[in-house]
Amino acid sequence: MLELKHISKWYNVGGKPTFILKDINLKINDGEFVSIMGPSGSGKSTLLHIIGMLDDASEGEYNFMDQAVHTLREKQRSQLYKQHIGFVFQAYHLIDELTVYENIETPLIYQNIKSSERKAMVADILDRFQIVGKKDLFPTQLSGGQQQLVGIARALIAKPRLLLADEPTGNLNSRQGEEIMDLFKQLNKDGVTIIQVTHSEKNAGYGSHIINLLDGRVEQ
Amino acid sequence: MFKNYWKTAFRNIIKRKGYSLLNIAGLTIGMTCCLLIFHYVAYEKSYDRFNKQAGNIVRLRLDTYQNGVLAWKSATIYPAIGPALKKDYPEVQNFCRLMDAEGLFINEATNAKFNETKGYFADQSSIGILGIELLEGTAGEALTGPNKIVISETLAKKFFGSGKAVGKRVSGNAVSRLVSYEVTGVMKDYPVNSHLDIRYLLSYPTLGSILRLGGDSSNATETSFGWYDFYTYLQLRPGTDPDQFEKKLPDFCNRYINNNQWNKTNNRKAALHIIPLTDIHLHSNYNQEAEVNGNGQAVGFLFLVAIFIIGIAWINYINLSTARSVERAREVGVRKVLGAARSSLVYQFLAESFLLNLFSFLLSLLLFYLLLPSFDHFVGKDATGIGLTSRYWQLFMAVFIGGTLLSGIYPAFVLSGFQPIKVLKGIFKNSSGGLVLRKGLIVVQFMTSVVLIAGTIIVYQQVTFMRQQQLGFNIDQTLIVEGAGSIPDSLYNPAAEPFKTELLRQSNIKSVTASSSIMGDEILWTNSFKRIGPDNPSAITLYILGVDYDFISAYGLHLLAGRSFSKDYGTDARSVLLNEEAVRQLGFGSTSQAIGGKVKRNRDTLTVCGVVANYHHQGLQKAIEPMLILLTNEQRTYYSVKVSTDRLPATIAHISSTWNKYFPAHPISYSFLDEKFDQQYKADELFGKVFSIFAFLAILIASFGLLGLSAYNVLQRTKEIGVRKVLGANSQQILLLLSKDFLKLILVALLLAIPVCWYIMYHWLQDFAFRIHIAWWVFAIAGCLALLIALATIVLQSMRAVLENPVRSLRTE
Ligand SMILES: Nc1ncnc2c1ncn2[C@@H]1O[C@H](COP(=O)(O)OP(=O)(O)O)[C@@H](O)[C@H]1O
Ligand SMILES: [Mg+2]
Repeated sequence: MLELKHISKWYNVGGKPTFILKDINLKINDGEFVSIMGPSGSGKSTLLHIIGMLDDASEGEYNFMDQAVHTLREKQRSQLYKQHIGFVFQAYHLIDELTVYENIETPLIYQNIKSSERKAMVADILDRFQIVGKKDLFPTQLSGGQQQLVGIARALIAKPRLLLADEPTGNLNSRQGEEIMDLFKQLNKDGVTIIQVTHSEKNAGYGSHIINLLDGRVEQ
Repeated sequence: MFKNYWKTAFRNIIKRKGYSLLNIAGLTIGMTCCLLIFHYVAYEKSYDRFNKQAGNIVRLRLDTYQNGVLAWKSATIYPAIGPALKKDYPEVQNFCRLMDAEGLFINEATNAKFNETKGYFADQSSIGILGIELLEGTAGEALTGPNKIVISETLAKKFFGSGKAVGKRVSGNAVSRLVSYEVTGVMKDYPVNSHLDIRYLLSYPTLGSILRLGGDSSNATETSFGWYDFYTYLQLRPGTDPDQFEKKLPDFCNRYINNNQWNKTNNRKAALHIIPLTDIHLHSNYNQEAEVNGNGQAVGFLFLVAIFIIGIAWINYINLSTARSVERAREVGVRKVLGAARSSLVYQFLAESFLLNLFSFLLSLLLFYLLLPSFDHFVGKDATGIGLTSRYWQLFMAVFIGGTLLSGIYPAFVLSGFQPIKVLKGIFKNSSGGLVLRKGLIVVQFMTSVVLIAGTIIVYQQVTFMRQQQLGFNIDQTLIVEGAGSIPDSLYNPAAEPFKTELLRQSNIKSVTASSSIMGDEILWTNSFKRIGPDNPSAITLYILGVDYDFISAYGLHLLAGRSFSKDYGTDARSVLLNEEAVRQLGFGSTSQAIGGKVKRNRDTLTVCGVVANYHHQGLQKAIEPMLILLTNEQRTYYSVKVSTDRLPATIAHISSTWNKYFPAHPISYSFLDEKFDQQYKADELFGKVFSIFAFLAILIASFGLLGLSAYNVLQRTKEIGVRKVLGANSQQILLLLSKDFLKLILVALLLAIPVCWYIMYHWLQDFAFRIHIAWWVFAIAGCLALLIALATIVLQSMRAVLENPVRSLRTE
């Protein structure tokens, strides 16, 4: 599905380049469930952002579904991730002014999907996640676990092939975390490729394999 | 997609209630001001536009040069000019002339008397050219031939009650001769938004026939190139370029006027100019204007003020929304991650600003219509019916859409520009570029406010200065009675002296004097005079005041040299008084040298018997003109009656009854001189009032913006304040911390406002012959006021943060 070759990322801090990612080589196949682990500040989020095309690498090649991402222009890249990638965040990042229903619907609006179709898709996912009863509530009226559920529903609404999750259970208690992980497992079974960042060995265990990052390098 | 924009926009407005309210309040006030001012400007600019041919009609005016110096600028010209122009220039399709005619009219059937002003002798062509609509009578011939009158609808009701007026007869005594007129037309009341107030028109040939009856065979009303009392309008052939046509007028003047013997020997030159009909009301301010015209400069000023006030409100929107961009950054980041293109976010923010503006617009529309009648009453215009003309609606909509877009687009671009990666990583900060712009805009807001406040103070100072200045004559307790213009001299002269004598018998009446003009009125009687001397001095134009023996003492005019008129001197018919200005301009070395000096007008030689100190015959806007005071005992345009304050009603009743006894044919009409004189300052005073209201509103709106910004500032710095307090900072130190940055900006605004305001007001003051100097402390006051208002706003906002227990704000972290 995707392949990183010699990917590096640095920032100029005080005139000197500070490496955050160094020569990352990575191949992830369709249907994998990968967990990225590592201490805080080791570059996990940065790596995830590069994979998700929210950030550029400073150096290296990135191929995503047979496209050379590093050669694409902004527009094409956004087109690509809009269609194929869904994001889940530790802080949920729901839009407070929108209801649960509208939050989930938003990605579809940006993909210019017709209103009737949107309705069917949102209804479907609300049903699947068993949050139909909450659809008219605003995010602040939900518990953290429920919010993250909405976040995941929103990430999945456009039927992405790849789900990126940055510490999705970081703000949840262990029971809620477990539920989310079970959900991920189920999704993976249904064919969604998943890359998650996590601190918890237990959560990492849900995945098919683990990548350890230390000081911007992949530990083999 | 659009529905979604509106929905989120609406929810955002609701959610940020406080800020939306500040924005809406500011925008609503701004737009209401803008609408009201546009209404006023639209009305002022609507003058004479009801005339369908307005685009092709111009009025001529006359500049007279004496020895190459502009001596006289009048709105009226010679009666022979119109016909000559039509004959010589094919682009002149037609012309019409109007000459003032006022007097007493008598319904011949009932003998009811009416004292009527605002009438003119007018050519038949004036009906077409001035757009007069006849309700009765034939437009094509209502004013052809002598002794015809066309009256307004209102006048017709007044003269004849209801029923047909055409065919009835009235006697009128315009130009002091009683003539029986046939009513040949009733016109629709002439629109108020015209530079002319026409209540009746007398057929032009009547004027000629009256002169002939008086023994004048010169046919002056058709041939005179010297009698400058005629408003003359030209109807230019469609497609004529007025500027090109005007270029031909010097040649015309040389051929017809400047080559005549009298003008040559006196070294006088005439120059004709044209002014488009629709420009007269706002841009014509010469001698002998038909009505007091508007002030184009003031209208332009107000228009700018409107734009600035609404601009201040839009600046608030820009500042408040960019200052709070941090709050929106996360939403923007998330939306982008969910696939939003930048353009769709721009639309979303634009929708928000549009909704806010639209809501304010609807509110201001409501306010506008509610306030319109009181506003019109306040500015003294009967213009409510006009609302906003379609032109000004278009202009307002252009300003509205332009302003909404401009004020919406910048925040939209700033907000939509956030990179999701930064936002999500939490390293997002307010851009310093936005900060600089915000500071700049605050400076602009307060600069405008300070300019308006200081401007208001200066306008007030000038008006007060004019009111408090010594006028050089005694204005107190003077009742002005208009002379019995309708009474023929033969009947009048025997009654005048007994009337005065009988009045003076009353102990509450201190003096009675008659004159050709009265203080506060423009002197229309002028002549060209030369000092007689070996150095062959050149002629100058003197303004002539005809008075009786008592005028100088009754008004307490200060005699500098020589003597006043006196019955003890048999020769006083040939004696004159001069004012200092005339002494100077005529070239007498000093006031004492002037005594016994001789001045010459045509073949008439007069002797100077005294010199009076300059006094303000007109308001202090006007310079003191060189005046010549002539003893004309039969003078009777006005009587000035000095009365004592006690038992004033009884005194007035006594004056009325005495009047009726001596002049039964003419109804009395009187007013108080101080009120009449003060009328001259009304326009400037109103300008000051209007200005002060808008200045107040401008700073109010600007402080709304400051309120929002400082509230946000406090919110952002809550934790910092808490820490500082724990470390021992006291309330003053915290307040200083919170207000320092804003106050610096306001000081900068003040410094910038001084030269701008000085420049504008310096030019405004140039319109006044007698004017104040702009004092530095005006700016100090305006600045302090702005500073105080700003400080109060900030302190109000900061007080809570200052007083709050620091532990609370720290615990929330
Ligand atoms: N714009 C930036 N400039 C400089 N350093 C940065 C920037 N963004 C992130 N970093 C640094 O990069 C490192 C890796 O960050 P991140 O990928 O968020 O780590 P992780 O998610 O593993 O905790 C951190 O030390 C962080 O301080
Ligand atoms: Mg991280």
